Amino acid sequence: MSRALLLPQVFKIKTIKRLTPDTLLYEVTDQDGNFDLSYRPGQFMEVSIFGSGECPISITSTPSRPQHIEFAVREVGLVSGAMHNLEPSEHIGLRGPFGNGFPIDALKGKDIFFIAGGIGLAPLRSLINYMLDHREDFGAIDIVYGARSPELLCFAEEFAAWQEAPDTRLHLTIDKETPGWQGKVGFVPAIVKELGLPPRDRAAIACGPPVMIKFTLLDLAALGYPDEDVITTLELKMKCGVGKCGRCNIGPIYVCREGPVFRLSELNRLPAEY
Amino acid sequence: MTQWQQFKKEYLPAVLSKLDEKWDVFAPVEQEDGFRFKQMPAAGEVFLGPRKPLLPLKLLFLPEVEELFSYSLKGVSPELTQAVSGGRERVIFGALGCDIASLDILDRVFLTEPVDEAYRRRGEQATLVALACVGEGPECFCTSFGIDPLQPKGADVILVTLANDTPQSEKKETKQKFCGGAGGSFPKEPPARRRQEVFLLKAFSKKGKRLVEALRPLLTEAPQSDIAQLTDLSSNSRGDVPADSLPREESELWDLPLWKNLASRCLGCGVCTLLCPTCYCFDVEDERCGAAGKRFRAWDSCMSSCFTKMAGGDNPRPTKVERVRQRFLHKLSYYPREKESVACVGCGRCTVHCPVGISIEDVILEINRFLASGGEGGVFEKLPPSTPQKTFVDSAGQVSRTPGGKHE
Repeated sequence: MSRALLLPQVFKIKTIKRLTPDTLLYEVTDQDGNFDLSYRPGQFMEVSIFGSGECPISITSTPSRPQHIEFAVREVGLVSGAMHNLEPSEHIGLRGPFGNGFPIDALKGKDIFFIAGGIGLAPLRSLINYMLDHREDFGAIDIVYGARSPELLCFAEEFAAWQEAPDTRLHLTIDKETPGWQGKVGFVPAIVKELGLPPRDRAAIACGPPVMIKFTLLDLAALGYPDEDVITTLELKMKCGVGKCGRCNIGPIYVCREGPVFRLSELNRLPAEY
Repeated sequence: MTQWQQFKKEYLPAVLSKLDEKWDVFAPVEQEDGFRFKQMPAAGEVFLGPRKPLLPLKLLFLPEVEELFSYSLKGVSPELTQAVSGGRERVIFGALGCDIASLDILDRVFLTEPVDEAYRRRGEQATLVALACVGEGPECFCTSFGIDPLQPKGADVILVTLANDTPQSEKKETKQKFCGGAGGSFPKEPPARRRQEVFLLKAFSKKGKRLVEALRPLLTEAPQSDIAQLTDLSSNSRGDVPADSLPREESELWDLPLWKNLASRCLGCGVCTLLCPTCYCFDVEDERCGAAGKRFRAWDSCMSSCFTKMAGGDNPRPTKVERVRQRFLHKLSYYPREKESVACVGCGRCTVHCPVGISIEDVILEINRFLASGGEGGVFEKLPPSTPQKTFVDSAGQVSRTPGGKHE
């Protein structure tokens, strides 16, 4: 008998790291300390906290580092709140992976322009680290990452590795001048504009709060990026992850099934109900 | 055994108890809280007439609330126990064509990969005995979607009630007699005239043949005079609701003035979606008691303001305008384009039970009118924004208090 659609598998939390005051990073393995589920950058899983429920969380680790899987979880709702009360060696349930993931093959050979705000870096980090592990397959990598203040930047421990990677630049920004801050100051779209990276052979991949996305897309259009080369990843309320529970549709498509990664050219054909 | 068989009405208790030997039998009965399918009803309770149960047949395949698994948190790691939906095979006795057709619409969701095993098993274990329906309800328009209420596709057995004035009479039966008399008095009081009622039945599938075979000791071959009556049967279901123009791209229908108008009347109660035989959206929730708990899925409604509201508070469908549009476009545009069938079977439950008289039939007519007029708002714009009574629009565009305008 095939596995029941909505039945999760039990996994163990190996480590928990604090990324920001409201966001924790969970490293998850199976009971024996391994992890052998295959997934693609940009996919998500339904995470169960038994007694509280289930919610979709993007995978932030990369399949090129296969011994574990990681989730960055910001405390916003019932399930994420309950997850924040867990300790290492406690258990969660997982279903998935779900969704399409980033179009890695189509991105090969291109320069990549990552644009992220706040927790929006979590799904992009999967692809960034994947690309750094397959560095020769991709062109120049530029990462613009912003948050309101320095302590709200996620994954700060990895910034040095990204900056030191070949032909890779990290442009960090915060909203307001702060003592001791070495990076840029200003909103993410403003930095995108300031960098003015030309669209030739380059794909832009953006994830962040709706207002950041809205202005970033305008700026990318002004820089001449064609809609096919602008990629974003969406989140909508989801329950089943397989296009059956009926709530994450944008017009005729289900974000859990056809998404969550979309090219802007695909989004433009959909009603603006997201 | 593929010929029409028959049994007399007084054999119905024997038929039901014979079925009960092998199957769990569900049949429609009148209960305090409405007309609905009941497991193993007493034969006297069973009402076999062209009357729709309040709750659609989907509840026997996609239960209102269904346990998915239970868990114990006592051990080192949580232990999950999957809910088993085993049990005996089922006979659903007296299902109507609209409801049977709705199962095909649900199949296209739950039987496509990844298959929902619990749903698949329930379908596999069910034998559907359809009652040939002459479409008594003024709200019925199943034939507009190509459904044959007399011999619905997907039925394993078709059951027809015939009423003869005398056994072997020449018969000059009207449809009303065929329907077994009107309303709820039928099961309790004997008919005024001396009539002998018989049920004709015939298998249309392997499962159906098995059922008819099991009943063999109670059946006799139907006489030609009775079989001849079958060709006289016709349905009152209205086949003129113009569903052929569907589906359309949502871009053509997104800005219909209709959505705002309907939203201003809609109370957001969700009765339309809960009573709809083709609505299948579900929610998944946990219930925990100490160190043990269960996870359920339950019917959900796109008319609820929480349906798409995210943990952070964002909601892509914040008002009733978006939610009303979602309900109708899902049935009439999104689902049909993916699954090649409109997600409506014309049962009319949503229209009959809507407290403000919103009718999917009117919506289909209005979409047609909108497209024909090149984008002009139609009759809904002329209606007062919140009409407490039901209003119906017939195919000629006439507004009346009764569906179709012609039924009293």
